Amino acid sequence: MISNRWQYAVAAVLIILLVGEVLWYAPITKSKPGSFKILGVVRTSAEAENTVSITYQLFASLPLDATVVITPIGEFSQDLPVYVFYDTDYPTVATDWTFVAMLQAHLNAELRLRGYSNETKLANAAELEDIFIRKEPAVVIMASGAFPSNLLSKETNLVKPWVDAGGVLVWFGFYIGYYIVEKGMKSQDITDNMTQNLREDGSRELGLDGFFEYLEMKDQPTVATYPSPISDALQINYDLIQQAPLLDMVWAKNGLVLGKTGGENPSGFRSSVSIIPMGVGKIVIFGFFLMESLTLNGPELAAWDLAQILCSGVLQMKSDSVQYCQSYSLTEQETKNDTALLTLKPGITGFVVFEYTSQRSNGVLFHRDFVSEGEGS
Amino acid sequence: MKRSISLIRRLFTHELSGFLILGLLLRIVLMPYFIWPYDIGAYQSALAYLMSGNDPYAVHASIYPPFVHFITYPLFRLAYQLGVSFDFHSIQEVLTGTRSGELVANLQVSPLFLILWKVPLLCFDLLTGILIYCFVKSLVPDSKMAKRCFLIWLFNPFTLAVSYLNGSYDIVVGFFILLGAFFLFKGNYFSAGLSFGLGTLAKTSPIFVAIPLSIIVLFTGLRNSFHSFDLRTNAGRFLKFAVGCIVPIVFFAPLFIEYANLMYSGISKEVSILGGLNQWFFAADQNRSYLLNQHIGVIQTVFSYYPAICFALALFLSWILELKRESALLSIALFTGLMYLFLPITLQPQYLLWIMPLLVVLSCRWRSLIWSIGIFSVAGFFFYMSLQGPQTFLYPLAMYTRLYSPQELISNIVSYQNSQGIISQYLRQDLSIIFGGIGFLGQIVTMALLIRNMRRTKNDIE
Repeated sequence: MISNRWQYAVAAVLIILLVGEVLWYAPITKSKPGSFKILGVVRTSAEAENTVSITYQLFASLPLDATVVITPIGEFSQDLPVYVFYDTDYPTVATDWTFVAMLQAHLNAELRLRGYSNETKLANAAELEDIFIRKEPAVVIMASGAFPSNLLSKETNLVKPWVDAGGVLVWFGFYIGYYIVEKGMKSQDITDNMTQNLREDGSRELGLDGFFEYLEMKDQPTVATYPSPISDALQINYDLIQQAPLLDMVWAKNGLVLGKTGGENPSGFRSSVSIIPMGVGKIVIFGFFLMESLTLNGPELAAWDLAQILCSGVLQMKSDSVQYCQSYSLTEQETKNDTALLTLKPGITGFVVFEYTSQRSNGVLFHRDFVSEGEGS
Repeated sequence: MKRSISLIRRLFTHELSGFLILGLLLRIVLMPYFIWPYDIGAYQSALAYLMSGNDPYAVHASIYPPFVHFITYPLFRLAYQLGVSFDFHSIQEVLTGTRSGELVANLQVSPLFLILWKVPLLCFDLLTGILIYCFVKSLVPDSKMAKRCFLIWLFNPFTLAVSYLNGSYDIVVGFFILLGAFFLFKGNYFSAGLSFGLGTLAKTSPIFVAIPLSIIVLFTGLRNSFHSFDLRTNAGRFLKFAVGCIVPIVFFAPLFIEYANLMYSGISKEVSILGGLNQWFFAADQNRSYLLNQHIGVIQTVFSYYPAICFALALFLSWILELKRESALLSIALFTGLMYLFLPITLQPQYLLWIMPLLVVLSCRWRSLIWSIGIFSVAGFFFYMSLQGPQTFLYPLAMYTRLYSPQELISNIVSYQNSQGIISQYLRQDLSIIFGGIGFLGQIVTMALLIRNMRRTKNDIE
């Protein structure tokens, strides 16, 4: 059967591969990174305030660099479908459709890992128009830098009513609503002076009047350096603030600062990622564009940021609530039991318990759970 | 016992022993302290996912097919059981020394990780050298030629850079394409197919060579239908070749399907022209790369004609090739080169390793191919060094030795990246254009030489 000595090389490689495959697939040798369990929920009522203590157990069979974040939420929401605007019939402004497609692919994977129960799809301008008209509750991510004219223009505004009705709009790019693009236009034809551009009126049309400081690009601050409690808790990477909303305005509208903060002076301070409530819905604004692949503000890490935001419950978090956050570095076979003590403020219906491992952890373990305010004794 | 001693004695007195030991030492020196800093993040992440029971394609951590993972998994698993840690280590200087938005390369792995990662590369690299030696010996009677070809391989700075500076697994593909060619030359069709199948598990490219090759196997001798064309014999060979190709892919189907889905869903929309021989001209200039990305549809349409072009060409080659086996070797090189010109994905200089071993072997019969090897080696090596400067490979050296400090490394890399150019805005763009241009020229020259040599071989037959 073996007529040439080099056939042994082929056989040896095949055997090594098969051993690798068996080791990886076989239930006995298949490794698990560890486990996360909620052991108990206890509700206590004192004179001044109600508290809830959540006891959990973290076990590591591989070294884990894990963080547990517990977010008090106003209203529990099912995982919404996620649509990423992708339509090559329209131009992008100062970015590329490639990055948008990469964002969707990575986000889909990141959400699947975290047990997000709905799909992430690409949607073109016509599909988004349909979603907005039907007021479908969804997360829509616009990262091409401009609105297509069928969604927002001088004559049309399908965006605001949809957000008001419960939609979640995620925006990357120049000032939201500034540029409007028509079908068939080319990226190189986009200018600041195009007649269809809404310019400063765009943000006004979307209910964000006064949120932005319209400066020359050279005068804009670029990078936010001060972490916020939520950016620390969820390890949010995105840090660009060239076109980010002003911090004071975000707070004034009961919004949340998810990213890092920075800027020239206290009144001009901005947040690299913000949530701004709008009617029943929300607008999540990233402070600038998606950058090149494999960079700090590129599509891969932006997908991580978005997955953290969508899975941790911060979208349902109230501005006066405080998250619980605890990080652990567990060695192999180590078990950690811990208890989180949370204040139950009026309007809080429960807690999202979210466990994740950092991007540099040896073991990869994600866990999500919802604990209702009524659980426990 | 006597037999073993005799074998060991023969090993040490072999004409290659000294060079092999020297080559091995050189490689061992390069293994622990050099890596392409961005790829190692993907390698470590993929391994973390594998060790955690997730597939390595879970978050696009890896774009390598299953081969690399199934071969490294037992190795790393064993090392892990022995207490070796594979943590990422952060270089603080990178975070503070670079602007936001620049490439993230602040995470690195230990030298031990790099050694383990490169052990399979070392094996395939040395096997390739030995196979080149054996192959050349069976092609030409001149034993000095076999040694010369072996040395061209063993001490070629470009091949060393791909496996030990970059840490890329393209040598595995190069080895299996060469092994497939070797078996085909020896008339062992099943093993040839098996080699191309295993190569496909390492990177999908060998299948694009195997398909036209199978057409040649099926229709060889078509012109002389009354004399040498024997459909029954050809069909038998074709079947053996095709089954050989399919076996490894079927064996590792679950993860291979995951991989195919990932490529289809994620990568198909992504023609990130950030490297690649036939697109190097565009790569160096951001404006033109942007232009090219805008025409992804055109690139993909052109690629969709690749099977038809291959089919027509393979049929034509079957028509003219007769049964001369050396001509079949030239056609393997031709299809490997053609694939390089057609692939609508990110093409990088290390992919030259798919064709290099075959060119080294073929240069023993067709000396003019030395030009191709020379051009590819120079262009590939210097293109690598031009992209972000030679210092980009030195992160582990700066982090784990006192030979170089991370501060120095970062400031030198940033200073190189900002060096002004003459033709373009930056020096790195100028250098990429120059060496990319040379590489592109190398491709054209190689295609021309292969076709010319085919015509000569055909004339020899006539």
